Amino acid sequence: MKNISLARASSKITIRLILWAIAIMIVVPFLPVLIWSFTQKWFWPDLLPEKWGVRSWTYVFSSHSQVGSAILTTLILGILVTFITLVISLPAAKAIGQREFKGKSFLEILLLAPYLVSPTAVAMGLYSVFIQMRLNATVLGVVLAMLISTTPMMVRMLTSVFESLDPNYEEQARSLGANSFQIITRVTIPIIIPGIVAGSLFTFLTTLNAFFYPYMIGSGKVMVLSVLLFNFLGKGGYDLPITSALSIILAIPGIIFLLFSEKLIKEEYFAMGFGH
Amino acid sequence: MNIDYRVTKSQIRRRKLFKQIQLPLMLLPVLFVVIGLFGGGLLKAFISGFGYIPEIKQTEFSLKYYIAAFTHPDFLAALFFGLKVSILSIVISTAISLFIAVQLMSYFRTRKILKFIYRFPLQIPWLVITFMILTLFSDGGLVARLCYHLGLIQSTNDFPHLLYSQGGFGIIFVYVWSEIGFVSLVLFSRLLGMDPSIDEAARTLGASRWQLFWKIQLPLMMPSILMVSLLNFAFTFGDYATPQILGPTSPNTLPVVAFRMYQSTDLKLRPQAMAMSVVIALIAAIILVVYNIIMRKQQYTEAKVQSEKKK
Repeated sequence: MKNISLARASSKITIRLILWAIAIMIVVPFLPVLIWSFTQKWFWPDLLPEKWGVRSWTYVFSSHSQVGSAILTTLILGILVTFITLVISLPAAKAIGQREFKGKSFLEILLLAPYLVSPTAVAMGLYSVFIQMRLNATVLGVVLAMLISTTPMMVRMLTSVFESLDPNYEEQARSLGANSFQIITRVTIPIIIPGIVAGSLFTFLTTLNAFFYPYMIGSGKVMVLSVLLFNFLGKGGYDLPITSALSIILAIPGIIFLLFSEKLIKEEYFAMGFGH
Repeated sequence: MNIDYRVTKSQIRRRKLFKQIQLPLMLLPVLFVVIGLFGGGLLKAFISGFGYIPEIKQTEFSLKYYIAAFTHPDFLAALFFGLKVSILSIVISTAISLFIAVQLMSYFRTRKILKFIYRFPLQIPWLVITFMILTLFSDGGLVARLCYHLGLIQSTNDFPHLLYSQGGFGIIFVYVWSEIGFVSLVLFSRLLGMDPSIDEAARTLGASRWQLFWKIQLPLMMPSILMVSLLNFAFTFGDYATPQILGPTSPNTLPVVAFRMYQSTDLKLRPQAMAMSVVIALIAAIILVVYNIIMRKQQYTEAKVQSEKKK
């Protein structure tokens, strides 16, 4: 008996150790980037910088770096894309979630396609089309391209919200004397607001993190943070402290989201929209 | 006061018409995105693949570019490199995530902290992870420095070239790192949704932890594992930035090869680049079909279980 309980305890400890090893593997890659962003001089093979400093951060926030305007462009793009995605996805999600119509299952497959087909397959063709329409290298062009990535996700998330609603709530509100406008503002929107918040946050983050559409369609004219980081990385012999500072800035929105997501939105919404 | 509650015929007709056009109107904007923008971009690439690109004064129409894309010496190598990187990272991340999901089901003191850490990769952009892996595993990176201090290597040249190599180690590491968050979350919430009475029944019947895992938990998670794997395959196989930064010059993945052709000053390569992007889309289409079959099957079984419960 004693042997069995001992074996069980040791296997428990092994499992705990493996779990922590995985956790450390996830956290460790952040370390060199954090250190590099506060580095003045750090030569091979030192484990820590010879001279610390905030040169990269003063550069990043100085007026002659592109970072400030890139942050602004990224935020504008994120807000525009999120707003448009929400406005066009709401009615479609309501239709799919609450109505039966011919071709509904086909439409659902169709909506899955842009989610699975990578931007690299679409962007080259789309860029050629946009050149003819003079939409290339414009914010509008990048916004339109980004909608391809964000709309299917938003529609899926909102559809499952509408599906979980009692389809008769509108009738009930109407019979109590509400008009169409009141039904939307007083009944529908309050019920679906958690889904809207979750979907909007996701869309916003997806847009901030997106790279290929802004890179290709924006062709250097629409400079967002991710494209700026890629340009820094692509140069070769890059400036590690500045690139580190830049990547930290790019990671911050996602980290903030993670810190507050547990309080803001339920866990189900995370896995929602992924065929869960 | 008398109110006429009868609805006139014209009102009925108007309502019917309104109902008829309401549905298309609700779907129209989303259809514009999916068919117009997404479909339009793909169609343009498809046509351009035949060599018909009027804006750069190429107006031929032949299959030779598609044939050239398929027979290009880099094509097969790029296809296999991409497959290897995607599949390996999925296998590794799924194994790790399965372990995480199952272990997190039991309660212990540090569970909450661990759960939080495992979620970390979810919203970190791939570009940032790519850069992190670069600073960690490059020849002068932190790992190489550690190896030096441990006396394993004498100079940066002795460090095994983990990045820019045919092995694709750096790329795989980036994908595994980012997939762990997503896969473990989906699998964990799948286990949470499992009926706890099954678990209890198995335990009272004397099933060991392993039996519980192989006979009950794994089969229950299988559809989710397959679907998440397909999603991750689609995301990684179509990725450009990570293999471009961390991958070898050649062979690299299909999106990298296609985009390099597209960027080339030789405009003759452009139809071939477009043809390759069509190939990438076709592979995604296959995934879409398989994904859909699995999803339908799962919905069908879930509906069956539901109806049997009601009985």
